[in-house]
Amino acid sequence: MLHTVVKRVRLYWRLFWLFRQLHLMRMFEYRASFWFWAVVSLVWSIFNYFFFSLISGPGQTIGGWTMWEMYLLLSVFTIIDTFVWSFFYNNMSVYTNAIFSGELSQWLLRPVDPQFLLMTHNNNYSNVFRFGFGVAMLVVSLQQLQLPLSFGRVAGFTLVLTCSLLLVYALWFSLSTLAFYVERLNNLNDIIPSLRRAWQVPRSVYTGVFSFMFTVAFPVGLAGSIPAEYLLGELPGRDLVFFLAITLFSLVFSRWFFFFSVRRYAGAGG
Amino acid sequence: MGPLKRYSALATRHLSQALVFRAEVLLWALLNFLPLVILLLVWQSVYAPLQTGATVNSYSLSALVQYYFLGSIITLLSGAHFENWRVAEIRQGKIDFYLTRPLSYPVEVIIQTLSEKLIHLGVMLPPQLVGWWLVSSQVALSLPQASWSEWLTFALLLAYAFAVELAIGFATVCVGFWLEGAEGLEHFKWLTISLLSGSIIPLSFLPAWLAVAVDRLPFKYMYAYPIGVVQQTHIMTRTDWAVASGFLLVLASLCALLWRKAQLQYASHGG
Repeated sequence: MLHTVVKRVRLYWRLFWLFRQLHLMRMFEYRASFWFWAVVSLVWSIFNYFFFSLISGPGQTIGGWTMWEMYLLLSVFTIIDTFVWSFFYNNMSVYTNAIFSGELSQWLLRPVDPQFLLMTHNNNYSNVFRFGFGVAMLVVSLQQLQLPLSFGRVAGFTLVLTCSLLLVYALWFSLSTLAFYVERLNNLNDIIPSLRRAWQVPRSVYTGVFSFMFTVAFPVGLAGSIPAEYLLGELPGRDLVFFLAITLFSLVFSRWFFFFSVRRYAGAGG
Repeated sequence: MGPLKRYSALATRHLSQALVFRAEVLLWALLNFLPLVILLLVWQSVYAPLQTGATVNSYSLSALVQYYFLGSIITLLSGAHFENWRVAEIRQGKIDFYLTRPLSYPVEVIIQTLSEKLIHLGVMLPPQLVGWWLVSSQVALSLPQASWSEWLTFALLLAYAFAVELAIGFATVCVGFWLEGAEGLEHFKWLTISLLSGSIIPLSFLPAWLAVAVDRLPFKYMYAYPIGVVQQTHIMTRTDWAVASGFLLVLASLCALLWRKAQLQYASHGG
């Protein structure tokens, strides 16, 4: 039993890195495209910092967050955004298009978990500079805010950030799975990208019904704020527990919803 | 079949195609609206610690909300988003139909975009207005008290914004005849318009060095000036009209030149 599990894990590990290798080769083949999109992604990242610097000018705060605290949050957002555009967007597009075109069958018939295959087969590397910029701005923000960093804190932040990525992924995957229930809705995959501003701002900004909407019902508002609050040392323990719980619930739900919805699926020929 | 009949048949076809995917159009209305709601909540949080009626860079919260409301109308009715699929159709050699028939591709682009705007007006604008009405209880939205001449100026500048978006979009599409991946240039269009037109933030919030550049460029007539006219913070002078018209003329000439050169580049295969 243990031997089978280890064998399966090795298979998925090998597959994961094979896909990365294939796309790396593709990147070297289309170098001009890589450099162009690398510049575009970096320019947009810088633009985000510039935009929020205009809002959080001298004496102004956003939801009680000062300019450098906002930059810290934007750094977390930038890192999450790297994964959104490097991994999630293309894979989710292929997933929804496969459902609409009836070509999901080829993914379901492979001797590998279909969700793993659908979500890891594609990626692009043009956001690597965006990631570097996000990490650099994170370090600069921490220095400006004079926040102490310890190994434990970095490990804790990595865990919380990973949960943010998993939360965004799970919510997006669940939304994309709705493709089984509609005839054609090409912009289904654009819902989460359009909502990215929700985790670009502190959750303290949300009041009234919007607070419930963005932090409980569809908790995208937590994805950027929680890791940033963790670094600032301002995250209450119960909020962290809630965040971890809701991430776990979203992941479990997204997987259950996928297998439940696949039963509705009818492919298009062979 | 005369040209008027030909192109009106084309417009009817585009309209019916767009209406087939009504659910998509409605979803776009929601997806365009939600980020704006979040931005308004951000501004609300900026003004919250200040005294009631306080201004930031000469904008009160209600004036700012009104600014974004008018900006959302301009975005909905003037935005052009055809670069992506148009460049793809050129790279795949799918515009033979327009080059071998008595149909002008540039005119087809204009008609298709105008049809899309008609759909936005009829299908996307009402839900967006309902959305604004719903959020007006949470954010301080009041309608501008402008005269009919100010609204007319707003309408004319709205048409100007549409024409600029269309022209830049078409120029990008023409570049696709030479460059693979030219559709990515639409990101630079978005960045330029976001930074220089006042679409994302009123011009008084810009730093001095950028404000100087914005003042000298004609993009301010797309958002900042039409909104300013209605909010009675700006007046369009003869010089402003001359600059805007001149810029449109330059863009139109550039598009005509690019299209003429682009047709010579085009090659397709098969039937």
